[in-house]
Amino acid sequence: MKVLRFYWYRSGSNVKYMGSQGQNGSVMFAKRVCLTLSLLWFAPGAVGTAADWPQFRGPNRDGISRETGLLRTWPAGGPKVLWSTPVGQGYAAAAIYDGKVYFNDYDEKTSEYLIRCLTLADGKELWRFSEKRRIRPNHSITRTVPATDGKHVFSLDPKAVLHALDAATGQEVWRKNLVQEYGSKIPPWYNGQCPLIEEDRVVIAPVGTKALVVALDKATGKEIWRTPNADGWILSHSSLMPATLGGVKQYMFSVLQGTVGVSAADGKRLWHFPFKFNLSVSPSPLAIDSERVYVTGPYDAGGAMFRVKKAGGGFTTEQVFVHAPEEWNSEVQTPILFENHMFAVGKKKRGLFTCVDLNGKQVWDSAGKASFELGSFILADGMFLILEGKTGMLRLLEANTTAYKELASAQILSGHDVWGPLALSNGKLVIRDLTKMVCLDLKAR
Amino acid sequence: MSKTHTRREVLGHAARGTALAGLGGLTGLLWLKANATFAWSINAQRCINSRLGAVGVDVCERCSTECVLALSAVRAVNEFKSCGRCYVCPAYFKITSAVGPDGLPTEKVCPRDAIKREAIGWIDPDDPANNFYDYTIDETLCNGCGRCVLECKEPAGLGSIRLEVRHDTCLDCNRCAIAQACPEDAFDRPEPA
Repeated sequence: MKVLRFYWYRSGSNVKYMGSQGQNGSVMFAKRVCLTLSLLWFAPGAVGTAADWPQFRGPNRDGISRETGLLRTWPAGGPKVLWSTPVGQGYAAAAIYDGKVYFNDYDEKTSEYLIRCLTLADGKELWRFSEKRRIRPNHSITRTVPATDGKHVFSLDPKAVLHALDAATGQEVWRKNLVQEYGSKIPPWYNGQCPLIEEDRVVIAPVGTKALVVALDKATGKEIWRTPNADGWILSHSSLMPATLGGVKQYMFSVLQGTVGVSAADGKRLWHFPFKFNLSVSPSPLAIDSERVYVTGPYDAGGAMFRVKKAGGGFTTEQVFVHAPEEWNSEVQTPILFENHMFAVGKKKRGLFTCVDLNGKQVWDSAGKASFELGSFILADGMFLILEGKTGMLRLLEANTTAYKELASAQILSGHDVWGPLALSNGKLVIRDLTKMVCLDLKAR
Repeated sequence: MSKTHTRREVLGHAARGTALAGLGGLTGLLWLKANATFAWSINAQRCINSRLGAVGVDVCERCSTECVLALSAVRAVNEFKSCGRCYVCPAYFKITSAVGPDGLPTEKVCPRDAIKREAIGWIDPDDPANNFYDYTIDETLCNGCGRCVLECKEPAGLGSIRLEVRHDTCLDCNRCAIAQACPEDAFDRPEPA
């Protein structure tokens, strides 16, 4: 995408350009190039522009929006609600690209799995993909975020079928049934993995009898490489996270037996950090820097920081510290890294938003201020936006490493189980509870 | 010809009526207090096994160890309407135990194997992990140890299991041994309000 847009401006001679009065074409051309480059997110592996939220945890899969100019205080009643649409019960959140909102849904009345596309501006439905599927609620139904590059939309549904749709029309281009093709077992509470897209490929972890990870051509679904599942691991709920560790681009994810890294180039398994997750692992691994990785999970798993080192022709891992279950963990959400601290809703004391330093020591939590249960959160413009899982209360916090400081709050959604991730694009925040998806205007005027 | 009442007479009747009603109510309350059965019960908000917010604590088994009966009068009770009917119930499976090839933990929470697990409703053979399961407690085996209650508590579980006193077996001792030993003062015999 980055290359394509830059090319459009460089080939500007083929485009009728209308400069504004008083500015010559070359100045305007330079301004537009600069504007475009500033909008394009520059981190390696980023998908879309800074204004897009094209996948799980945003353009860099780190839960951080690079947008600025957001409201720091909210009017009584909260930010303006731009639109709202009914949704089936679940936690499936939005991916936003080029003014379009894509999300997974389920209609219990017709027993149809849905992938829907709305306009970000007014919530008008542009298309919906539907397919008859019998999926009964098991702690809700939908729980994943699609990934899109504006050309295709990739959705991994509750029963582990990967759908590749034409982003403009919603027509299915190809599909992969992970159970049939890779021997995956649908995990309890259904699939929770969100697909990862890279330049020319979509990468998923079937963790089945026939493959641990596969990279598929975006356009055709043709396999580029696969990592064998030599240890017979089974699929859980973690998503693939790109990282460059020891100078090698790789994809990390967690299974019940620990966290693994595979080469982005050819799928070769590079390392495995043994860690005992229990029952399921929902949070995805968090790369701290070029060596350290933090993992955490539910059901008394606690968490661990470990180091991945390149040694000789391979990689080694070594534990840095462990969080005992009674110390700190995150049940569902992946922590966010900000100013050398990790932020997440911890299980201890039931859902306190917590700031933890990189030695694993707690700096502050939200005790006495707010409890977020299993709610989701993102970081944008120096602020955290956090949902209370039990009530749907949306809170705005100052992002700092010294104390909990709340700037505003609003009861936009209603509980319970408000666990779906947030998505922010062009100052518009898309959030959901079990029954509706809502778009809020957060842009400061 | 109707009799007219003075204001004084009306107020007097009203006052007498109110006094009579109050006397009746007081008599009824005294009768209730004299004849009520004060049964032992467990306050789930106090019991450390079920109290929300008490996480990372060790299970308290005094309900099973302190009762004067050979098999305690306390039982774990699963309230089905609150149960998630999960494939892997944290109150049934010891979720920290090793996972078997089927993806299920290999150990159970209940030391007496008193919880029965059974698939219910529509069963999808291709998706066993999302079938629904009933978890029924066999009261002839349960001794009220509270381990399943602790594991069922939020946030891991939904808190559908709690401890209750079975009054058909409880001896209703005046000085209940469990109440004496309960560190949370959760075993109580409250008087009617």
